[in-house]
Amino acid sequence: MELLSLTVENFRQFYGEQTIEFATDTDENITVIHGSNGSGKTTLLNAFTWLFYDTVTLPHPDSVASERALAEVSPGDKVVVRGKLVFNHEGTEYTFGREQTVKRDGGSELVGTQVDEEVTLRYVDEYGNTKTRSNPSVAIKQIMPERLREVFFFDGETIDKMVANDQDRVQEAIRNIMGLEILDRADRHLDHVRREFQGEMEKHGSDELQSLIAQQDEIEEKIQQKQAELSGEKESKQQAIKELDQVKETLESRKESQKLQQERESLKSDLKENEEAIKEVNSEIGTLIADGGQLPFALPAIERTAEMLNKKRKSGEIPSEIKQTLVEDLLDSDECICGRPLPHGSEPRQSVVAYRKRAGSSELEEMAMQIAGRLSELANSQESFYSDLDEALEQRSELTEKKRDLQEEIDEKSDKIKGTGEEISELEQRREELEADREAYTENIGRIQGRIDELESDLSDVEDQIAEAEEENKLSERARRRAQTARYLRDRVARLYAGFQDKVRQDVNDRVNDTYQKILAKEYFIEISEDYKLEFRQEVKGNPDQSVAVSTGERQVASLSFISSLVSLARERYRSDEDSPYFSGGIYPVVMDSPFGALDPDYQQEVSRIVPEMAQQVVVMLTDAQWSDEVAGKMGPRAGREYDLIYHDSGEDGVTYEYTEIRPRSGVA
Amino acid sequence: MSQALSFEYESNEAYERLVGQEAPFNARYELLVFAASVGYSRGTPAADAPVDDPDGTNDSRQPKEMRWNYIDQNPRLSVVTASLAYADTGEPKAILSADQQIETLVSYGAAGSRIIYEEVISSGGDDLDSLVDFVQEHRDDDRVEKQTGVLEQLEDEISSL
Repeated sequence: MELLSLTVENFRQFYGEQTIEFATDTDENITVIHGSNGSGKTTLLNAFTWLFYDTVTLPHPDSVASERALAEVSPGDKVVVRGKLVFNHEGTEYTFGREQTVKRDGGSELVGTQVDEEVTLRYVDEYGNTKTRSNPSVAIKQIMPERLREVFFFDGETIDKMVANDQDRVQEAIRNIMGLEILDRADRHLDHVRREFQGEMEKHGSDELQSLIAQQDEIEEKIQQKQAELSGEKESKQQAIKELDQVKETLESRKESQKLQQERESLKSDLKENEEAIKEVNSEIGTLIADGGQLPFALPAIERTAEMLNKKRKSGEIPSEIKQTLVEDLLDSDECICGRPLPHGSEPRQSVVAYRKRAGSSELEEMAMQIAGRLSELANSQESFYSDLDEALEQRSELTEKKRDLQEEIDEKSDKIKGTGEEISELEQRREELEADREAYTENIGRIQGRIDELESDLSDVEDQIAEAEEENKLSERARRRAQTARYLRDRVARLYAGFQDKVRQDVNDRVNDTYQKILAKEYFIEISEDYKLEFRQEVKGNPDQSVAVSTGERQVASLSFISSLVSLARERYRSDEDSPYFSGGIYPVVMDSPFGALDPDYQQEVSRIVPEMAQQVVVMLTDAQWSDEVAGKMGPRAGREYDLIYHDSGEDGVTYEYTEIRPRSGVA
Repeated sequence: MSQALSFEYESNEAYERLVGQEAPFNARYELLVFAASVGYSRGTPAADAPVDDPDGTNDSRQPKEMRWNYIDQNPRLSVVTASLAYADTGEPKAILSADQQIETLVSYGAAGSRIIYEEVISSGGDDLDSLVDFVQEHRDDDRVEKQTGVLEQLEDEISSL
């Protein structure tokens, strides 16, 4: 299968009709979809599973219609939700479409009820005519089997769980990729045949034999019931574990968000302090200018004045030997300092009057001293004015730079905090409930498995007794032999199945190790054990079986390596000339949401190296943070198409209901 | 000199923007002396310029009253003002004459505040940053060093009185 284009219309947050064309070139086989957290990457991944299998693993799975589209119609009116996938499969171009008509419910809430659905699968035949397949839902599952959903459409952030000691999932994945439909059918058919012969045997056999066969039927029925019960409990346990993982992750992210909020508050407080400090420095700069800013402009005038005063000093004008006030006092009192009278018009008075001109001004002298006393201070103030100004400006520049850094850090934290979920207390409560459920399911599984073991032991005893029972009736004997043959054949088929599965397990094991070690460059190796546990081992002092603990990131790499191995094996089998009725393989695309979820940057770089090789066609959805320079360097040259998911929040201007727009990334074909 | 002496000076938008609690200058008299120093430095007294705004300039100039003692009693500003008055008139007695010093202050102050309005306020951007740039443009480290030497020497000589 080769994806050509996907069109969604009014599906969840994808309002209106929007299309993605996929990269199909062998050298540029990756389609990269960029989107921030909450922009709709997981919804887009769900668009595939909704389209193929009418399955959505998002909250409120029944509400597929866009809120915005529902808001635009009145209660009772209808909205059409469409999905269309154009793809090539074995040389034929197909168009698969799912169209659901949703009627808006009454009331203020934007919810609707599905009232109609149409599924179509059209293809172009060898003559160029468009034909329609009569049973599209079944046909699409033949092309892209639902059992492969987990392998080909996955969320990278939870993919590490695939190998986290869950042998059922590993075994299931191997079985699914093998596609052993023929063996499954043989098993069912042989069981049916065996039962028929046993019925005949019972009919013609002795009372003892009839009783034994009745017992056998009864035990088998009980085993079947218990197995169905066991399967139900296992399924419920898996669902509980899955939800538990999601709750734990949300809880982690909420706790992380709380931590981020605290960090942001601390940064805001630092920013406030920093702004206060800038304000203080500004005030200091203002004070410097107010106190000394006039000096560079006024000092030439001060210098001139000082020179004038110095000149007066040199000429003896200041300080004067005779003070003007003394001369005036003598003239006022009409008496000289020597006691001689100074009558008006007298010669001695004229002599004293003559001193008036020679006397200096005490005010001028005082002013001269006042000015002179400040000259060096003013000169130094001018010098320090500039050096203090330089220092304050430097300090302000540092503070401004720090302010910018703090602002950036706050913005970064705010971006990370965006997108809130449920309250922590509710999540904690749900986590406890789910953990209790998981324990209960585990206990039930153990109990049921124990009962099945007992019943199987009983069955084995009854079968032995039946085999030993002396039987004279020819018809009964023939039926017994036939039943035995059917049982034998069924057992052979089961062995064949197991043997083949084991071969694939070993094959996958080698591939998975290769890929894993290429990425991690560590001495670990992975072993898919006989009971399908994916185990991490290390050779320590010659002991190759030393089990090692690994991180979430390492488990994620293991999961990606595992999937990569399954896909490559399927592709190889499909292209192989070797005829195999059981495992014909196939070519499938891989669609991954956040494949670098929990990986360190070094691992991201290495994983991005193998992503283009994971499948013939790869669709990856990433945040810009995950599309780092290193990742872009490795995957960019292989990216044939790139799109951005542009999320419009309901808080934005003119946006009442959130929606996401799919836009081709500019500069990319 | 009279403690209660008041005089009228030309105020403009520069005073509104550069004086205040959050502004560089805390008081109008500080800016007036600064402006007068700028006006003197540029050699552009505005003695004949009208205080009101008949030319339609947009600096919102208007007369305001100020008490002389704010300047007269400030040790540094009084020296600056007296020096400006002497430098302007060439009359030694100007350093003792409040009237003369006020006349010089008002005349150069008006010229300086118009320059400050044009080059600081009208330049756009942050007022404090523009003011810093304005002061820095007048910076001449060599002149400052030389001036310091001269003034220290003059202080020594005059102080030997």
